[in-house]
Amino acid sequence: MSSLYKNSKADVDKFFFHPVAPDNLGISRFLYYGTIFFLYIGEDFSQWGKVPEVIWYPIFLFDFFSIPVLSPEVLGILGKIWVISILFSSIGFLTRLNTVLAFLIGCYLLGVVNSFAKTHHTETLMLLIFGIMSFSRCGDGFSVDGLYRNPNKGTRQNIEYCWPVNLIRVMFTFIFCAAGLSKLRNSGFEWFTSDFLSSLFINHGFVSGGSNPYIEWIPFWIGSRKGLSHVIAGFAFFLEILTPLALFNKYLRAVIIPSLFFMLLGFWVVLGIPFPQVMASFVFWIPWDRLIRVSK
Amino acid sequence: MKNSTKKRAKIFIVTLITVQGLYVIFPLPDIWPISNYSMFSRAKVNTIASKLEIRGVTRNGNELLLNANDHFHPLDSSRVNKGINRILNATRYREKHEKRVDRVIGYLDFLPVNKTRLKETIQNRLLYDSEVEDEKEAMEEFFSYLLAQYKFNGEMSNADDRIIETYELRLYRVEWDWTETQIHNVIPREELIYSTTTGLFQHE
Repeated sequence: MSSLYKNSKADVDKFFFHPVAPDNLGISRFLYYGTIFFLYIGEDFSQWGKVPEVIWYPIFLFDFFSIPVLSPEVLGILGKIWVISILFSSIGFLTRLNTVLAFLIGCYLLGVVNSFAKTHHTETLMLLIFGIMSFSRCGDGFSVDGLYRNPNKGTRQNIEYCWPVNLIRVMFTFIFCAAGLSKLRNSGFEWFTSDFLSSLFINHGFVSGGSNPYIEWIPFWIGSRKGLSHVIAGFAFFLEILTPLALFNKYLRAVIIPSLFFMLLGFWVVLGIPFPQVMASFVFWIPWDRLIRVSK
Repeated sequence: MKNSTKKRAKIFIVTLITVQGLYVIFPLPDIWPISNYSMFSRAKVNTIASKLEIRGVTRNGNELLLNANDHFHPLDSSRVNKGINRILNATRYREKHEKRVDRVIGYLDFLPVNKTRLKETIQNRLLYDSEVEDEKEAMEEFFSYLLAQYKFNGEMSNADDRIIETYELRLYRVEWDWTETQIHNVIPREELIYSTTTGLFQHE
C-alpha cells in the first residue's frame, strides 16, 4: 500500500514538476492572451455601469461581499487597463504585473457582467487560466521580458515551466468531465437515448430563424434525423466524461482533444452557443517546443 | 526551483484541483467562476419552442424587429430574455434561490449549529432579496433603459439604416408548437406581453 502511494506520488510529482524549457509555456501564453486580446479589444465596459438594477442578480461573490458596480467612467478605465494588461501579458512585457492585473480586473469586470440577469460560463476557464498564469513564471520564455533578462535564464530547463501548462490541462479536462457527469447525474443514459438533443436542435432552429440564411437549415436537418442526433448526443456524452484520459495517454489525447474542439465548433454553428475563450485554451495542448524543434 | 517555491506551487495546485474536483464529483451550487457545468444536462424533450421578441414601433405604426445583440448592447439576447423572465417571474426565482440555500445548508448537516439561524444569516447576508416588488415599475424601468440604449447604439453606429425613430417598444412571446405538426408546417403564435405605452398585458 505504501509503495503504491509512493509510486502515485512520484508519478504526480513527475507530471507537474519535470524540468522543461520555457518555450512551450511562453508560446502558449503569447497565443492565448493574444487571442483573448482580440476577443475583447472593442469591448466598452463603461456601458455596464448604466444597466438598471432591476436585472441585477449578483453572482455569489458579489452578493456575499457586497461588491458594488462602479461608475461608468471607472468601469471604462478599468476595461481599458484590463485589455492593455492582456496585450502586455501576451507579448510578455512586465509579465508578472500584467498577468496579475489581467486576472484581478478580469474577475471584477466579468463578475459585474455575469451579475446582470444571467451568468454565462464561457469565461470561467479563461479566468482560471489567468489565475494560474499569474502564479507562474510564464514570462521567462518567448517574451519581451526575456530579451533584457539574463539570456541563459530563459533557455534553462526548469520545473517551474512545467506545472502551469499541466495544471491548465487538468482544469480543462475537469470542466468537460464535470459537464459530462452532470448529464449522467441529471439524466443518465436518457441524455442520448431520448430525443432530447433532436428537440433542442429543432427548437433552436425555430428560435434563431432568419439569423443566418446559410446555416439556419442545419439544426432542422440534424434534428429531424433522430438516429444522427442520438449518435451526436452519445458521442458528446462519452467524450466529455472521458476527457481526463487525455492527460495520461498521448494516443487518446490525439483523438479526444481535436474531437472536443470540433464538438465546440459544432455547437457554435448548429446551436449558436459560442465558446471562443474555451476554444482559445486549446493552445495549451499543443507541444510548441517540439513543433519548433521538428521544424528546425 | 527553490523548495519554498515548489511548496507554494504544490499548495496552489492541490487547492485548485480539490475545489474544481469537488464540483466534478458533487452537484454543488455554482460559485462563479467555479461550476459543475450542468447546462443542458436535463434531458427534457420539449416540442414547443418559444422566444421573446422586442419590436420597435415607428411613427407610421410599422413594427421593426430589434436584435438585442445589435440594438441593446452591452446586453445580449439571452440576458435581455432572462432579465424580462426574472422580472415577470420574480416569485418563482425567489423560491428557486431559497431551495438553493436549503441545499447548501443540507451539505452542512454535520455541523453542530442551529440550521434555521444559519439559513436566516445566509439570507440576510445575501443581497439577492432585491426582489422585484412591482413588476410593472420594473418593466417600465427596464424598457426605458432598452429604448435609451437602442437610441444610443443607433447614434454610435455609422450605418444610416440603423437609426430609425422608434416611439414605442413592444414585447411579444412567439411560440412554435411542433408536437403534432410537421416542422415545416408549423405556424408561429404571437402574444403581446408588454408595450411601453400601454404597459403589461399578460399580468393584468
